[in-house]
Amino acid sequence: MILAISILTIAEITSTGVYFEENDPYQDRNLDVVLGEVQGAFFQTLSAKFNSYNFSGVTDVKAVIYELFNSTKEIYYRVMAENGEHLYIKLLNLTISSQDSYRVEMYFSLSEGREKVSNTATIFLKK
Amino acid sequence: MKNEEKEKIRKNKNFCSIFVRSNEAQIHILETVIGGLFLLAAIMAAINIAPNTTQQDSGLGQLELLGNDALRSLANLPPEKANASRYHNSTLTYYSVTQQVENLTKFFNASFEVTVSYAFSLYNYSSGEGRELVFSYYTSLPILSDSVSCHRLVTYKEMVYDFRLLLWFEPREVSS
Repeated sequence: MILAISILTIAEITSTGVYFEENDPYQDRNLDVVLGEVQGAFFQTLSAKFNSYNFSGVTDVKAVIYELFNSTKEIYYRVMAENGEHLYIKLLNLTISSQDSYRVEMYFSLSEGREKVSNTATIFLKK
Repeated sequence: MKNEEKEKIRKNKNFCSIFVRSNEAQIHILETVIGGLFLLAAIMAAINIAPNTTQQDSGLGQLELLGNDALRSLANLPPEKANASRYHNSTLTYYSVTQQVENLTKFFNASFEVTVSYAFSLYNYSSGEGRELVFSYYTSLPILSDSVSCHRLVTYKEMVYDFRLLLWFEPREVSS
């Protein structure tokens, strides 16, 4: 009986050991890094859309930024959802920081399974 | 009369001792059976316990990390050609947008062991009609149930692309 219990304990310890030993150096990819990548890509797209926009005759630049922001957001939602990740982006604040520069503050959240990370970020869009 | 009573008492004692001995024997048997079951459970546990599944999961997990690392390093690698600098300083963007499948396979062949097969594809999400496949490449038909998928967003001008890499364990043909 003692022998049996010893074997059972050793087997349990060994299995746990194997699990951690093999997984520790290869933990799941860091979701923070992925969120950073998504943010970077989102900024690039938004900036590119903003820069290529024809502002002649436009009086309400803020409305244009809202429109560009929402259309970009939809694209990113779709890409991430198709890859099993849930992305949430919200525009928190949009202010005119100088004569032709706009400060866009936004909230990003990314989740995959039970893991979730979030962040607020700011970019400046200049006409 | 006295003798008869004594005899009766003696017989009774004998009977009781047999009963006690029989109880002890049952307990011994029970203990042996329980011990045997424990031993069996221990052996079964030692043979079957996690390592098999863990190893497999861990293998796929490692594969996913390798894939993500490969995509990340390709994305962080500045393009070799000077005239490619407009591609956001990223080789992944440069290869993707200019559809350089041969260079992509060269990079992935160097990144993954020959026991790993892969497939990659580029989707355009800015075309206005959902996603649109730009190009794809397969070393062989993927085993979808045992494969892992990694992806990386590629942005070029105002376009959003998704580069997808599928990896699975299967020896691939090495071109000389």
